[in-house]
Amino acid sequence: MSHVTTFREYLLREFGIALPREIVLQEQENVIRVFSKTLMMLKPAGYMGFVAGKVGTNGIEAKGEFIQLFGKHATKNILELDEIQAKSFVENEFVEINSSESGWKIAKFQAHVLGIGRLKDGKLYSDFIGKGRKRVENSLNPSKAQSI
Amino acid sequence: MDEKQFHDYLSSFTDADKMLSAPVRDTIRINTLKISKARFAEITKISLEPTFYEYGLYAESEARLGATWEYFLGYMHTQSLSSMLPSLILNPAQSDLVLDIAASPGSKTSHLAMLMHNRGAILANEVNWERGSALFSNIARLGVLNTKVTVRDGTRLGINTYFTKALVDAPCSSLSQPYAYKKFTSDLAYEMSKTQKKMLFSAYDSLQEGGELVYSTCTYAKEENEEVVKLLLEKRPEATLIDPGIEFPHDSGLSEFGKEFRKTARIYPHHFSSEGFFMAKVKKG
Repeated sequence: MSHVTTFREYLLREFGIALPREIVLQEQENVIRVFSKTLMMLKPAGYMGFVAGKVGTNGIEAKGEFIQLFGKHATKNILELDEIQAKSFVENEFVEINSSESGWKIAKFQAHVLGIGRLKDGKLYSDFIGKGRKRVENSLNPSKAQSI
Repeated sequence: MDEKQFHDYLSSFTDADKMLSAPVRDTIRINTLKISKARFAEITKISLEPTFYEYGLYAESEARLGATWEYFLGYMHTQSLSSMLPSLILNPAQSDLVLDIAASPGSKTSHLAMLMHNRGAILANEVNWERGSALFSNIARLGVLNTKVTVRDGTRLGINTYFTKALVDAPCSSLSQPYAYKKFTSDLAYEMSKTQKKMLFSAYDSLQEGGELVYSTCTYAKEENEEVVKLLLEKRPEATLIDPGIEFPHDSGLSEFGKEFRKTARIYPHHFSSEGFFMAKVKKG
């Protein structure tokens, strides 16, 4: 079975994510990249779209940015975080979660898909650590929408 | 160049006092690949103010704009208002094959993708792997799906008659940036212009007949702006300057290069409190 098929099945099995028809997954240099079907008309060789994840010896891994974009289609294994947990998820190695579950979880804060993390022993380990420290210094959701 | 020399230099083509005293304000671009403008207005606490471009907004925030939830989630990109114009002027359609020949860090690439609704195709080229990492990172954060990245020397791309549109946001002496004048010399402008000319010809030759390109820089030096475009018009007689096609405050290009340079645009900070820019739109055939 190709890694792309394995990855697609993983998305469906773990999260109930079925990608829209116009979205293509393709393996390139040991990672799975995601892009629009229309990009296939571009002939010169190069790196397509961005990295969706990889299938390796450590199992299957989806990347945070990919989940941010397609996590809205998820129907299961979603973990709702509060603001403190959400900030910690982005900025730190892990966030404490009061749960005995384990496995990959899509982290959400209100309606916003933050990314993906691995839940183990009451800790949700973020995918973002290791790619450079992220920072969030503000909060969302004012009492009233702005007129712009 | 010292401060006085810079003032005198600017005075040769604009009101230097007015320009140097104008504030440069922070702006953001709402990334509609991930969120609608209406939804963004509901969720953000960043103080926003409209500009002439519906998705480009003056922004004020106690937090650094690059350290906000909105940025992390890819709902917006910190980008100067001037630098939104090249993509708007290029005006790509969903069916276009677009070349962005000097793409890092990806602000204009991702804007092109947004204007194309992630359809069509963009070849985002960057000569430097290190700068390329910012391009890859912004493409992923902003959810860009219609872009292929290549790491090649843009001055020698070697692709002929292929793209329908091209953006040449050329490396330049960055004279519009704070204190860049301290490093500016005519030799630097001359050296930059050699690369710019090669890059412009490379992009132009990659266009299909009837294709269009936008040439832009963030410098005021005519050697890197009008002079570069003038050479293309001389060497490629079928190339014509065309109107930008959108309304925005600007000065025309320098008249010493000919009447047709009225169609090019020079932006100074006093136009709309953004960095200086030069832009020219060229049609092939």
